[in-house]
Amino acid sequence: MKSMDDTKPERFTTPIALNRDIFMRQLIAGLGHLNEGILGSNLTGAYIMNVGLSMGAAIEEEYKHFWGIDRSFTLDEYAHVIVDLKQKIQGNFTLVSKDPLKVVVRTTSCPFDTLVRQSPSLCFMTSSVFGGIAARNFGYAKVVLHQRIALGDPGCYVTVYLQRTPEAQAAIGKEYVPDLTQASPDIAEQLHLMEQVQHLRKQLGETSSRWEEVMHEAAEAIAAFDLEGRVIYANARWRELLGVEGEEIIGNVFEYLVPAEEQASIHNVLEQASQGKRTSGHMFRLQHRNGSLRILRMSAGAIRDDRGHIVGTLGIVHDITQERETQRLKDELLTTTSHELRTPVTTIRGMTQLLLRGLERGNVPNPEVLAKRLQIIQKETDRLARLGADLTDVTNLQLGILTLHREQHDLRTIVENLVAIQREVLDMNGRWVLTLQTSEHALPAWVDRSRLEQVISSLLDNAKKYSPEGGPITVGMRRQGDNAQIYISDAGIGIPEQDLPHLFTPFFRASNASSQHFPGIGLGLYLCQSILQAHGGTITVTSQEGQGTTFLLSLPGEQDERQEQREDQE
Amino acid sequence: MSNLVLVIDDDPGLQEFLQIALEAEGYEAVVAQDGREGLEKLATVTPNLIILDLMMPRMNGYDFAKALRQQEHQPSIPLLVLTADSHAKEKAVTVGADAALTKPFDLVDLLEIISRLLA
Repeated sequence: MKSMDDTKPERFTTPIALNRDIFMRQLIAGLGHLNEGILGSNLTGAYIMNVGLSMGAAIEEEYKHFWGIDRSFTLDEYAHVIVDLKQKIQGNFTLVSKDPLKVVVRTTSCPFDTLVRQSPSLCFMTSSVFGGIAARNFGYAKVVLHQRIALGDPGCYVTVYLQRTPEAQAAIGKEYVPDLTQASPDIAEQLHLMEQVQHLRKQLGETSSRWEEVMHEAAEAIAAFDLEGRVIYANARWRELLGVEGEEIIGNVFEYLVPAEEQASIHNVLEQASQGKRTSGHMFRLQHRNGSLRILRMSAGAIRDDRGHIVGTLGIVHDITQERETQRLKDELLTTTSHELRTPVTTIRGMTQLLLRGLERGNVPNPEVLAKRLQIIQKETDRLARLGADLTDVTNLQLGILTLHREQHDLRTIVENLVAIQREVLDMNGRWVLTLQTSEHALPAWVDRSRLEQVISSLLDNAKKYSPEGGPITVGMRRQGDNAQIYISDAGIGIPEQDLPHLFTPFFRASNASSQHFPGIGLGLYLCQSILQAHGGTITVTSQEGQGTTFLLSLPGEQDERQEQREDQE
Repeated sequence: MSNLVLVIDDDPGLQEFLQIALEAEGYEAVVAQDGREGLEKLATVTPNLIILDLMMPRMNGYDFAKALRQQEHQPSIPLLVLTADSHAKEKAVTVGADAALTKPFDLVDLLEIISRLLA
């Protein structure tokens, strides 16, 4: 036997079947997009093992032929072969230790490189090459991968146990025995295997790419982690939620991607999952790259290999930012609604008690006084009824129900009537000056009169409410192309620019309105918009804080009517 | 001469009710829409009691109470705060009020507190 040092091959000739281009490309093309860490495919493992065993057998034969030996490898020879092999196929492998019980090799780069990241079980390839050769030459082998190169750490320790020691038995890895290491080193068989591979690849490829598609398109954010908490897979939604692009998240320890104050709990969640405990509903906050704060809820569970060993964890993240915001708005709504209820109830209760108290004392008010007091009660009752109706409207709108009873109306009549009623109220107060700019021409439209009145009254109420200093309020009408338009302007406190985009969101209130305690629950404009939209119309707003606000309603004009008008003119 | 009560509340219904209730008990009532108008009224009249809502536009009850304290009326004008939430007592302390009522309050409680503060 030649010693390894003085017979070190100067040149390693690669058998054609082992040619990296042929083998690797086939393998990679077929497996590159597999995510068997998640899919747990038996087929993938068996397939890779077969290829690895074949490769190993061919390599072994090539070396023995080159060195002119016809016996089993010694420990030194074996160690040399497995390290040397990887150098030739562009892996960077170094020998860490060797003794009759085990050989440890460290890899700092892998021939599969980034592909292995997509398909962590490609590590299994190395395992089966090492294990197959060892089992044939030493009668036993168990290969343990201490870290998977897929996980972004270029360092990976491969331990090959050469004897069935207690340590070897306790280690988690793949065991190889000689009869399982049948090689098919000749080219014909290799090619046959390749055909099988092609076939398998096709099947696997289709299945797995369908899975991948499903996962990729899933509304839920899904990611898989290794036992150290490093990301080995993240679907599109996950990347989107975390604001990462491409591969940059892969290989990173997930807890370091979340804010410091959340790291301990994320660590805990994944730790528990890696011990087989399923966790759900863990909430954490995350600053998205775009600057927005996201509230996320994470569930995690274990990923097991074919034999039930936990090899990693799977995390599913739910973006509950919107849910939370809705909840917050609802809480706020409850508070404001309760506030809005209490005031009219106070008046109704007080006024009723006042009347009863008078009666008990034999103090019957004259009809005029009685009527005045009852009117106050009625007005406040109407207010409560309107609040109730608004809330019902919102509920119905969210269920998609908004029934319109449309008829042909001249918008001038509707608006002029409403303005006349409001003018009485406003003139009595003297703070506001209401101006009507009517249209010379009829403004026929197909509208639900009471709904349109609801919109205009609501906007007039707002104009009054948000001009606490008083001032001019203008209501106008005009025809604009095919549309009939109504505008309501005030010179009140206006709306902060940043609030304008949210103005029609249910329960939203402009910051200056809520901070200055203007009454309201944030439904009026939402209802206005919904009503306009149901008519095929629009509502838009222009405003400058401190200067005033104008709402512009645009309704489709009645086509037939206009046609007739034109004909009349002709 | 009857006692004069200044009512500061932005709600027209409540204003009307308080005015009627006070007058029915033989008090004289002056109404202001908000804190700022309340201060304007104080420039011309000196009430024996102020009934103050807290949540109002323009100038809220807190700011009004602060401004009132700076005016250093002698003797100081008793202050009754009306609030719509359940933390009436704490709020009353915050603004230095002599009493507080949570809406919807009872007429009897209202009148009893008023007469106590005016005694």
